[in-house]
Amino acid sequence: MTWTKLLANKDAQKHTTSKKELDNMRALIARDLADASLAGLSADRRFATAYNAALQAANMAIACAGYRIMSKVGHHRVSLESTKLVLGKAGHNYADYFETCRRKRNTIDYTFSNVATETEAKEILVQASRFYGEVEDWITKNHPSLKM
Amino acid sequence: MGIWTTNLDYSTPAALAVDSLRNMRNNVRNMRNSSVLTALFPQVRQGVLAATLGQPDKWWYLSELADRLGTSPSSLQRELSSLVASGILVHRREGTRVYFKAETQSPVFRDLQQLFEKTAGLAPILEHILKPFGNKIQSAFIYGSVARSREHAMSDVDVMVIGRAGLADLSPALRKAEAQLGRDVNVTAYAPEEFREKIKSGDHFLAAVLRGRKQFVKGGQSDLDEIVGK
Repeated sequence: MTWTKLLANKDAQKHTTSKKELDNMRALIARDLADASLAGLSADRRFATAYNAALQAANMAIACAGYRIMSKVGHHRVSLESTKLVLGKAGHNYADYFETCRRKRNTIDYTFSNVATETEAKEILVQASRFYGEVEDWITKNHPSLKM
Repeated sequence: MGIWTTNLDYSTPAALAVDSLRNMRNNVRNMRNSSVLTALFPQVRQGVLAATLGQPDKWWYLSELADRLGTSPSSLQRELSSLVASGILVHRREGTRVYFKAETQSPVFRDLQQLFEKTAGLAPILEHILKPFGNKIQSAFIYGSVARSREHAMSDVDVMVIGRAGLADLSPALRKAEAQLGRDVNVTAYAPEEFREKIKSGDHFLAAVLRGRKQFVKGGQSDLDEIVGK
């Protein structure tokens, strides 16, 4: 996968982000990470909410790199896979992990209930928080004008 | 010590039974570890048979099969012709395209499929990718349609993993397994205490999984019983 191919396939478009846009995404991530910690919610809902935080963190990194993933079938997968292009090696394991989570989240949202285990819901909260931290570190280092 | 030698005392039936089980287990392990398939078949033929026998309902387009095996279509043509001529594969034409699949009516189909299942199939590949996790995984097994041998060509593989290895640990290895198998592998991960607790509380999903057929890829029934506290 390359940005050239993603642009050619209309999976992505060039985009110039702003501090304001990123701050809105930061607020969304903070809300989702807080909601994903609520013990009263089902494991499924906590899982799907933490997944959304991770997806937005991926989109933040992509926006800072100068792109936006087009909203069409498979765009979550493309966003997660694109983090490999933005974050390099550090993004590979996260992309593989959140791809596993994407499929589980699809089942949760559209097919079955009681899909995520407690173990998985707790893990994705930790991983999404960690991933978001890595994205913020990457922004601070590579795009200091857009840092938090 | 060779696999046929033993220090067991043959004077009791129990000792004989244990020895017989140990030999059987060693033979299976030996077969998986050694290059049984390499001794029997050239590499390209192995790849073609592993793909077609592993998903016997699937019609493979030539370039799709070549892509899966990491080779060129032209290098497959001779093998495919030979396997079709012997009745192990069948082919059909659609316009200019030729598709191939396993001949499930062949008298040797099931024997060949079993050989590949034991040596290059789903379970050995999953066993291989889970091995590096060692004691972080207490038990892992395939369940659902694949374990019941009722899968369709593109059925996802459902795997339950109980232990300290989470989805984050497992995912990079799962992607590699999926590339080898050509199908999605969906893992449900449990910490042992959550698994035990859910079984005790009568969780319907887990009860159904445990009642159904399982193909263990790490540990066995006794390990699962131990986790549950039987």
